[in-house]
Amino acid sequence: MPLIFKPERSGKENWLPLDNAAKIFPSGTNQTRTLVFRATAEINRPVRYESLKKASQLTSKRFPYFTMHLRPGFFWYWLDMEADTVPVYPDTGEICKVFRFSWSQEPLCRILARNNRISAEFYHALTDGSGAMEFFKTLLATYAELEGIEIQPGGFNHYQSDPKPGETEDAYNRYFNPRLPAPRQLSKAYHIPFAYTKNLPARILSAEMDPAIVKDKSKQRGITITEYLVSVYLWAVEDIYNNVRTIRNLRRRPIIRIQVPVNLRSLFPSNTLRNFALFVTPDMDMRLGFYSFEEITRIVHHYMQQQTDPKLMQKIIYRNVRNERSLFIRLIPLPLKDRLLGYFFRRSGMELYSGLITNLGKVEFSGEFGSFIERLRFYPPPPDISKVSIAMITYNQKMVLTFTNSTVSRQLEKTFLQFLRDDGIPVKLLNP
Amino acid sequence: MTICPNCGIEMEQGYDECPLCHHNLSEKSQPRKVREPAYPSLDKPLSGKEKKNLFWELSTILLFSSLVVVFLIDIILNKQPGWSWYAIAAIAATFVYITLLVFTYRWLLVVITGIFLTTTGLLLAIDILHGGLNWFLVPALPLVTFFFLLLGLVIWFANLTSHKGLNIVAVASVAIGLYVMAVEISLGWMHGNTISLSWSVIVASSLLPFALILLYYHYRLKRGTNLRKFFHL
Repeated sequence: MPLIFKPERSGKENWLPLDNAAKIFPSGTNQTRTLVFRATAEINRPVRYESLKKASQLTSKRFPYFTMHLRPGFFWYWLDMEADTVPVYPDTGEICKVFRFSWSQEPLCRILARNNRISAEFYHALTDGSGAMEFFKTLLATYAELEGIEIQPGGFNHYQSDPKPGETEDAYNRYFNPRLPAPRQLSKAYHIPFAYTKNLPARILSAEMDPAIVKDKSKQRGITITEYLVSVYLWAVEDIYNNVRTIRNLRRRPIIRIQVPVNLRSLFPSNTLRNFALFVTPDMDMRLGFYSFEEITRIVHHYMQQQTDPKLMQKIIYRNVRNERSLFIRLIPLPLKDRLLGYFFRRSGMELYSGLITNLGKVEFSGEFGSFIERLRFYPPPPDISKVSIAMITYNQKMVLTFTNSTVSRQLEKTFLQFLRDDGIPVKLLNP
Repeated sequence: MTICPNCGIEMEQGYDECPLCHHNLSEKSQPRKVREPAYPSLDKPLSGKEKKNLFWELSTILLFSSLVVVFLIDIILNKQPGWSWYAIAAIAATFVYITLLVFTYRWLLVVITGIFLTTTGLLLAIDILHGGLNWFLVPALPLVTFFFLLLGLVIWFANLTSHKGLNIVAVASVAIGLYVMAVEISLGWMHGNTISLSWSVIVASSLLPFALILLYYHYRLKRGTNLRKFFHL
């Protein structure tokens, strides 16, 4: 039975166990692998502190779930509520900094501001990109309204709207079917061979392009924008695999595999603001020889079409929830579980993939509010073993790709963006 | 409207520092003026020091009166002082305790040492009044000494820790475990000049896991944690 969170401070019910995906995240978190992601909006004027603080208060009242913080229990971590409002901090340029959660009562969401930018950072144990964008869109709309901008309804939840049923349900458990087989285990994947940077937690690069041109290029090949950019990513990693001569690259694994998050809300109806995403993992076996870009697009297209089938997704849900429900795993005390889950997080969450690319899709705001928000960006969590992650978001006829890179080299970004330029897509690099 | 030169945030007029990044916005920060009250209060409440002095004076009068009354009753009834010496010793010790607690409470070492010496002196006086040194040297003196040593350590730990709670109960449990061992040793020495440990080890080893659980519970959590949340499976 799904847990229904009571937004009002009932005193006893203001806590939640972590959702199925989030259970492993605290054990896998450290100073570099922060599992924090960021959404940023650039507005057409400097940010006003009073309005932003008020907007944070009103938005937190609508989404009290985002004021929760993490506490360690005897068997599991849990989400607890102490604060009323998501805090507002100055944006010092430290992107996706780790949340302190052992002793701190700091909410797992923070709002940051600098010049004309409003950002919100979220810990992945709290929510996924889709849930975070619901909060962020309401924050922006509330801020704009407080600034006297005319807001037209649609595309976001107004801060005065009532919470929808099941906003804090663990949707994985809701769609768990105990009579399914588990999916096959994947082998370890290739990782680009560059050394880690000391510029913690990651180096950032944002590039802007016209989504209409990207869509046109994708259509020419009969694939979607996401499939096109996943193909470019695989192509860029293949280029490094074949052409970079380093000692690390000699001991390379033969599989190049990219993680592409899928928002399960589009397959299984749910209003949850918590994690509800899984991955499809298109891959290439380099032992079979060189892949041309056209071959890669074909592989990616068919793979993604097949793997996003709800039945196959339910198999993965089954495996993940089955592990969580295992009495043996549940009875392991947290300090020991932290070590075990930390190991499994690296083993099953990081080593199996060469990189991650996520598409947050298209965000639309209309009228005066639409011109008030000039640009949106989305920063994926700093990668660890997979080294480079990419997130893309489209708004106002601008598609922004943001790379978070934990290595000293920008070779992957260079190859990726050069390919786009050579394919006829103009790319503009943005200030980080 | 003002724009912070550090973080670029716009804010309303009247801020001395940016409310977001705390950058100083004024050239010279003006000292805050403290407004004088229009009329000084005539019925000024007692200060903490005055309250303490008053408490000590009242206690002294009460204890001294009790001492005189007890002594006179003993004289009137028995024609000579007898049992009243015990009461006088106890009242004198109480007076020293109150004086130490009222005037030296800030100096933990002085308080503990003073109370230890007073208690030792009281026990010595009672033993002598009872007809010589029978039980003062063993077991009273070592037990009192060890008790105050452990008490001092527990209080020192409690002062040291910023987050007080079950950790103090845990340390006190360990101290109790050690103390029962000292009791068994002292009693064994008094009865047969032998040192043996049996029942006290069982008591101490039972208290140790209890203390460890309390310490774990305390340091993994903050105060006010609900057990249902903490132990959810």
